[in-house]
Amino acid sequence: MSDVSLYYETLRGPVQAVDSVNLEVPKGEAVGVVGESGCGKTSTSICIMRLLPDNIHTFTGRILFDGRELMDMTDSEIRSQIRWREVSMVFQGAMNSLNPVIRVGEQIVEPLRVLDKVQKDEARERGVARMRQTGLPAEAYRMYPHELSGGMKQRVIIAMALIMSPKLVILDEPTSALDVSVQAQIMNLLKDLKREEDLSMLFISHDIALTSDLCDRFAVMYAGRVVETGEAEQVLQDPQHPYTEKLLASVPRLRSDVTPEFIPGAPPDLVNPPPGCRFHPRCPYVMDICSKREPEMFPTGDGQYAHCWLRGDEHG
Amino acid sequence: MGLARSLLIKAISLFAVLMIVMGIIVVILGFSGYSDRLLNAIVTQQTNAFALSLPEGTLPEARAQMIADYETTLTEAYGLNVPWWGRLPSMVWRVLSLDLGEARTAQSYAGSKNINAIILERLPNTILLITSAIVISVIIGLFVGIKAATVPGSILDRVTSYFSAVSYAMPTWWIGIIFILVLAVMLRWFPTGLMYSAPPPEDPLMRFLDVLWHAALPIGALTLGLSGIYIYQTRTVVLNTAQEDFVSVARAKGLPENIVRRRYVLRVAAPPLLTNVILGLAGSISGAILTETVFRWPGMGLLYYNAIFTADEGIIVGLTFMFTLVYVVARFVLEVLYVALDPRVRY
Repeated sequence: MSDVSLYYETLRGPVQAVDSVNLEVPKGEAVGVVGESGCGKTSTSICIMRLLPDNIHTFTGRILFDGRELMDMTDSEIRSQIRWREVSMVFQGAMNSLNPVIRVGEQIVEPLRVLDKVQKDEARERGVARMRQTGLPAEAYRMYPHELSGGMKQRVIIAMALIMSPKLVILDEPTSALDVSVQAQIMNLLKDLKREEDLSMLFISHDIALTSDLCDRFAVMYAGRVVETGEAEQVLQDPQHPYTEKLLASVPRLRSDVTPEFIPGAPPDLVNPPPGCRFHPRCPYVMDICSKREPEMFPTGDGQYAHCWLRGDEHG
Repeated sequence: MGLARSLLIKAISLFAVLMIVMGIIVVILGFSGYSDRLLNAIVTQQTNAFALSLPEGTLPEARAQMIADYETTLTEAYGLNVPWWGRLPSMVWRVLSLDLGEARTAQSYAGSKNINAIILERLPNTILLITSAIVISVIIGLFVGIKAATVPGSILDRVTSYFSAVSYAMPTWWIGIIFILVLAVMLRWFPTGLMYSAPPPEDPLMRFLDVLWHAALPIGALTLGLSGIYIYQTRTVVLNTAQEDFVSVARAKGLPENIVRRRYVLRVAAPPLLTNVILGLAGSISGAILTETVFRWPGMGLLYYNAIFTADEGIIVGLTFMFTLVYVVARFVLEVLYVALDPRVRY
């Protein structure tokens, strides 16, 4: 996806939730999108499936998926050809993602039945197979969501996301509502699935440790923009953007005397973002140019890029 | 198994509600001395009638003796020789076995004083008026409420929100008075009250149309006053459900909008909506006391109103029992429907 912007209309003016975002998810790889709450992670992901709310101010850019330009497709084409078939999603707040009055099995196979008109028995077979794959017993097919534990519900939702064998799965904080041991089980399940199914994943999280466990590449977002991308190892070991550096320093470490640092200041108001680099009011290395001109994505070597004047000058 | 047991527990607790309501009415009527005064008045009235009916020329002593005997018999028959709580068990038992007794002043058209007969005669009138008004209001409420919730903030949504607020605020009897004033008195399009013209038309079809003509204003007033409530309740429930995460998930799954609305919004919103409808219908049996009174419509509400003003204890107790019974039955029906509609309510 390149140069994608999504502004929401509000009473105070348009909110620049996603601003000129460039992001690439290579086939079979997992890309982690990290950043603080409200930095546009979820907004970025809903652009791909065009699950937009009503209060859209601007929605521009290009989204290329498997050789097709999604921005040129009509809403009904997106619905019938892209959603779930090609791109599925595991939503934030898994506990409310299931309809309380429909049996979970029926919810899992519903896209098969409705979109592909698959017969009931065949759909059930495929549903149960996906449930087994995600570690659910076949009996759970006939259960209602309230009869399942949080971890089982999340497995149901993952089974549901895989039912149409999509090429890309967007995981929006898939584990944030779960306790730590269940979280670990789900992360292992996701790793297995990625390997077995050759899935591409877009993993959205504010938890850098979890993200690094699963993802090959990182994209760090700040205030509606991607500020740094690169191989997971590179970004973690040698962050090139001051925000990434600060973000990593804020993670508490086991068996270490290093006190987690916090980033002074608060994320900017996206109705009226600061000029130039959006991080400059909080940046420890701020220079004159930072508040005047917006930096480009400067390459810093080996596929790593940083949106920072420290890594390049006006000539690139 | 667990299901039958929980429904049984519900049934028992609802029966307890019925008993408690009965107890409260009878205790209030007895404790306040209302019941004693009423019965004494009946005894005096009947004794006087008896005295007048005695043949001329009876000796004064014999006459006084016969009257005194008659009075004692009556006092014992009505249970006035024991305190009011002594009459309580037999009264509750009579009412529970649906023997509502005799009315004091109210009569059926045929002149019967049997309360069962009077209620059964009035019930269809109330159903015709109030129940049809509620059914119309519910249909309008569901239809318009769902439409308004589909595009919140649209012109339709805003117009209906204003209408609901106004409809909520205006009492139906007041709308009724305005209707009578404008449409019946000033424009003379509709009758001012009652159920039939005098004399009623002979032809059954004409008779039916005559009733409809008389029912038009009260039904209109009730619908205007009630539909706003149903519209607003429907809109709120549907809108709340439409904002649930699982609705977004359903859209993300690529399901067509009509399936999303049916299976994920309306299906989930159905139980609370059904509660409003069933309780509204159950309440309609009790009639709208003020609306029926304003239009002098011979239904349950007017019967209740007159019973209170003529101190007709039997009717008051009998009607209150009936209303509670209908409510309790409706609650039980709701419990059963909930089990069918919402898998979470299977205890």
